[in-house]
Amino acid sequence: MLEKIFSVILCIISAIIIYSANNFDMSYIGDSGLGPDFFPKIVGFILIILSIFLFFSKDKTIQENKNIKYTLATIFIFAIYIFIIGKLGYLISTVLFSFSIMSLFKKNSILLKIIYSILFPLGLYLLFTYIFKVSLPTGIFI
Amino acid sequence: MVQHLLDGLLTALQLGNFIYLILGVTGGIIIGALPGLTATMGVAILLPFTFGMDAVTGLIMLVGIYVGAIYGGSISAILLNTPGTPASAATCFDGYPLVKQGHPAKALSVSTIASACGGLISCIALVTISPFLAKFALRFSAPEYFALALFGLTIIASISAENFLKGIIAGVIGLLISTFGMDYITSYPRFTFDVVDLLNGFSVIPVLIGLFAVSEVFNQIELLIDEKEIKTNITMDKSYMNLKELKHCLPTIIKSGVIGTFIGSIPGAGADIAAFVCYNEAKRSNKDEKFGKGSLIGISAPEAGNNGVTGGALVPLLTLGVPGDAVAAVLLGALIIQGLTPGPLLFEQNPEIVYGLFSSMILGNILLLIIGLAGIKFYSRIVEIPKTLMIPSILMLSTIGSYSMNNSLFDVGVTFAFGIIGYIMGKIKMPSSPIVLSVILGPMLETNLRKAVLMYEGSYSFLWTRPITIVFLILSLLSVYSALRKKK
Repeated sequence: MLEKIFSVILCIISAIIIYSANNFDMSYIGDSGLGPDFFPKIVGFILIILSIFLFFSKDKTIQENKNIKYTLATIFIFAIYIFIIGKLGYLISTVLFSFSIMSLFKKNSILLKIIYSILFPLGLYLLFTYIFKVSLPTGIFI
Repeated sequence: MVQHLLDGLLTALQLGNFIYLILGVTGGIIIGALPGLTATMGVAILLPFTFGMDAVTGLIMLVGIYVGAIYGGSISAILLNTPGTPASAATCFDGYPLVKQGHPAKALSVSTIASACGGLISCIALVTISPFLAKFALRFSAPEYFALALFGLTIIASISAENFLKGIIAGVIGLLISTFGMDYITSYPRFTFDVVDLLNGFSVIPVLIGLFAVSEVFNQIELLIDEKEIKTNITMDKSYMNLKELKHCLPTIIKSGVIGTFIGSIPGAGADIAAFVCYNEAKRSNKDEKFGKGSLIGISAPEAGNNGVTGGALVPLLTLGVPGDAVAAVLLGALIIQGLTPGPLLFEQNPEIVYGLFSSMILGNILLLIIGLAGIKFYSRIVEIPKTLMIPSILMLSTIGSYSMNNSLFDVGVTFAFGIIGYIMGKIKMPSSPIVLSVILGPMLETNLRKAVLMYEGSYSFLWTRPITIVFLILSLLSVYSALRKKK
């Protein structure tokens, strides 16, 4: 099933690419041989044909894993994390992120979770800020 | 050339560089040994640590990680019967049986020696062939580069033998991704949808951190929930490989090292393929050996083969700017970040970098031998590191890594998005390394085709009037033909 959906989405994206490549405003480029629209159009066209093949080929999608909810939870937490990095600052949001991800697993003790979630981000923060001179995002906090 | 090599050796031996090389090799071994962390992932997530270093030091460390990680995969293949990297899948066949018979130290020492020998053989090829190839490649112009990129892309298709169609689709998706951002020739902003961050297209590093690190984490989480703690419980019999056994394996090791180097130097084909090819070749030529029951030849063939790839993969990377496999693609990204353009000119303009790289490759393999043999006692500890700590760590490293290249949260978003894409692709069994290779080869293909057409004023006669171009085009046809025939 997933394979069919994938091929349909691929087909749609390729169609959008071809359509928008067709609408490139070429007026100010002049004649430059094969224009900027040439390659995307060809690639889009090939991709449409291939995705049609994929749609009609035998689906070998892996059986649904019952643990997929953990992955979805991770993706969700990751999305929130990226969103709050700029708002709260790198260090505090990374600590929260690490703790939330580790809380998904029941295996580690609460103490380990807290210690690890503070030390690892702090280490990265110090390393990148003071040794690699990367200015990490700051927000309300650091 | 000898002079350059000696200079390079001195550079690599400078205290700072040498320490980074040791760190790289050791870190690579650990990453490779942890099941689920591949060599590509290791180089991708540790790449940001080299941004702040100068070019030579950074590359030396990355080469160390590369060499170490390809070898490290064999540790968990042997001790746990789970390959640490796909390149070590073939090592399980004979490595694990030998452990069950109570000889883990012997199995590990065989794989260490074979890996280091394979790596050194590939270094010899790298050092001797590359300068000539680079000189030859100086004659290349747009039509040749176009045909070369096309050849690289057809190889991607033919190595996806398992699923030809999906391999090609992944490759074409990569080509599509490469068209985002400003067009190289006319500077026309393509598919940027008025997003400023997209003007330069998707940066390669965030894309591959997403595809190789984040998506792998998403996959691992599902498996992890039901997994029990790994306990190796291995009774260590202290005997290492002895001289007689080494003599017995040496022909296989040399042969596999050469095959691995050759496979590595073909754009697109990587260590996993080399390992299987070498294993099968060893099986074919050693009829009286008992494979699958702990044969030492069965361990040394894939290990010499996959480490042979490391040097081989750098040949097209340095001389032509075409990566030999996914890890080499990451290294290409590293070179570009440092403001260098891999290709024939690199040998003339930055010999210190090229030869520094060569020397660190040679030293790296020697270190691999020393660290590898000394570390055998500790390996069972590494493979017991709980994955529940690795998962958040990899995500944090991925985030900070994709951010710190351009100080851009947009790039973190790109990593996230490609993590999800890679995860879905994994579910439908579509390989993700073709995407990375074609993201890199795409601009090369497109720009050079268009330049060639401009050069010939709208005519396509360059396709059949330039000998080197013709050779590459014929090779491309052959590789597609052989892939299609293999399928039937």
